[in-house]
Amino acid sequence: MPPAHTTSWRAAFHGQGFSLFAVFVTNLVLILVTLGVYVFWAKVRVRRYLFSQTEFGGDRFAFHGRGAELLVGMLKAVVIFGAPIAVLRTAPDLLGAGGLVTGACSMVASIVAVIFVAVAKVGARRYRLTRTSWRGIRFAFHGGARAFLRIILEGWTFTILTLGVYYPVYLTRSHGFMVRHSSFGTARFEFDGDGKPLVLDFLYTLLLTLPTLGLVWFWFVARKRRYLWAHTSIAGVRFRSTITGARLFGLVAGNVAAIVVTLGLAWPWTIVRSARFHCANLSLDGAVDLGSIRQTGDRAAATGEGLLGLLDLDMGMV
Amino acid sequence: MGEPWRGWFLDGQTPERRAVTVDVHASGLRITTDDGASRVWWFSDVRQTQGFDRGEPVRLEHGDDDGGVLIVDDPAFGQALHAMSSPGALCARRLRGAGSRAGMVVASVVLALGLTVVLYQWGLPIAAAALTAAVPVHWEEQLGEQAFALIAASNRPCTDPRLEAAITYITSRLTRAVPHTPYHFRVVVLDIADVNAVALPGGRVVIFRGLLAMTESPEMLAGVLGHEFQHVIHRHATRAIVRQAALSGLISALTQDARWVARALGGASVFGALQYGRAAEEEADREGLRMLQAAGIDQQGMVAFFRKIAVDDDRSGEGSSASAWQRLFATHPAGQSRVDTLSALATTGALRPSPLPRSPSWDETRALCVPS
Repeated sequence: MPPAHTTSWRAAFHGQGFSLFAVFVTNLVLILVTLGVYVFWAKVRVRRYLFSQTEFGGDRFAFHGRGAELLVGMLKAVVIFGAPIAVLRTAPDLLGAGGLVTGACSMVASIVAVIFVAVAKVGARRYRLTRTSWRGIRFAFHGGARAFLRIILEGWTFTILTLGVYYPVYLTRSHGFMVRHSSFGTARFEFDGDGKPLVLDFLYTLLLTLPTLGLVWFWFVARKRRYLWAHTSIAGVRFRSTITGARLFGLVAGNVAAIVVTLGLAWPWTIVRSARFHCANLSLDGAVDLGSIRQTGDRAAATGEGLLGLLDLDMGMV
Repeated sequence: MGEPWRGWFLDGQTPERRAVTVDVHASGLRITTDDGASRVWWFSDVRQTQGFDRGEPVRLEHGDDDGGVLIVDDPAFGQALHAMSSPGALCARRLRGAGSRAGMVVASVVLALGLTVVLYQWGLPIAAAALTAAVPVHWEEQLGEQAFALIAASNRPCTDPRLEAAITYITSRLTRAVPHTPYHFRVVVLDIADVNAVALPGGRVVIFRGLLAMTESPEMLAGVLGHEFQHVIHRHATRAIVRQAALSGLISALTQDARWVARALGGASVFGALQYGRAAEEEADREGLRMLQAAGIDQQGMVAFFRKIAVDDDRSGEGSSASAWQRLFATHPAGQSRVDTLSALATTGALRPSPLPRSPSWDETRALCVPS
């Protein structure tokens, strides 16, 4: 067994496609038998499997979420957030109002939707992080929806005003917000990127989209990921990503081909393959002094997670 | 009690792991750190959360969340645990080899396929019928009005008062046959060249100009209207919408998406619903004939009309000139078998029909809808 402090600070994924397939299939049976109610527990089972197969620095992650939490979160989201949206959508018809009222209602609905997106993403991240632990210590998230909303609104405004040039900066700011307010126990993650080095790359990518039939985007996404990881650190130690556009293309192309050829059955294998790929390309540039980190008592409700699902924004496993 | 095991202990307060020795006893574990301090974990307080796959370290959690974690890399530890403890206490799932898992997976696949088929074939129709019965007429009317607004937005209605009067008379004759129906039937002729008619939920019926032009007598139109009214009365459109929503919910659930809740609720797309299926069409035919008889209208008009449609479809080659509208509202299977069924049914009934008014002549009346 490797001694504690000389473990390499790398990520590794140990899951197997067939095991994940087994999870999916048994989930499917239970979902059908329960006429859909089990879907919340199914999600938890999948996440628990994926997290418990992901290892960092010699230890695996653990997911502590519960299906009942997701169910309650979804119900709360439907009641708290779904009702206003539904009212705004149907009010004009019910009132028999003319074009002006209908237009006003749909504008208000759009504004409300953007607010809800911010609330959902922040809430979901808080829920997921507080339900994740490594070495028995939980993660946490302290960002507020208001601040995130401001980033979204400013980001889109400037992006439109600069005809898109600002976009990489917005992406970086958005990512930075998520990272800066995340913590592992008492240790906070830090982010010091501003996105400006990505602007030129982004413009090149836009120009080269047609000539390369879109393939240049793999290069840009890889570049962006390397940049974002390189500016992320914890307890003074930076992360490092070794993703390249070519390898990313290989991953995606292989996955797509597998899914097409097997009519979708290969999906669990592609998830495992992607997880292995991302883990193999992530590491820490040094050792973190774990001695100074302590557990905190943060927990969070799952309403944000429920809203994320309701708004159709679910990014999938993580 | 066997040989002690080596493992790592996490106390849930710091991320540093400590090397420990673990002794397995009949009712618990003794965990001893290298500096001599030891603690006892009773099996009843312990959960196994990892270590179910081959090669996976065994992870035991104590008490509530973050109460201490024990990790042992050696998979034999898991087997020793299960041999010692009673199954219930340790959330026990025996470490399975790949073989039995494959068996379980195959069984699950078969079961999943079977359940899907059962749900689709029987579950959906039963659920759709039950839910449809619970839908208030008021909701159907609103749904119908929304759909009608969409159709009428880009197609002009034919509003000649003489045409409207003729249609109103036929409608009132027909509705006399169903005095207790909660539906308020409103018939509109829209300026669309296709030969078709649509029954929207709630009582609104749309006749296309093309169909009107094909009718040679008021009895023919009455036959079509009777058929459409029966779609309304038997709520075929509503049932199709409900079934559509349930189906999209089923599909979403199959893809293990929690959004199935939202999808099922919002999946009631108005237009996707206007495909009723053969059973609904046959019911509308049958009940339509009965309605004509009860209203004292000659049933032969309906038979003659669908015979004419069948001939024209054969002549023009159905599908070759199918416009967008026809494809969208393709609810009426034409064809000789349908005509045969209709004419067989139409010979029943003893009441003598009383003719519908013919002044102005029907040729004049149907021409009142002028193509724009």
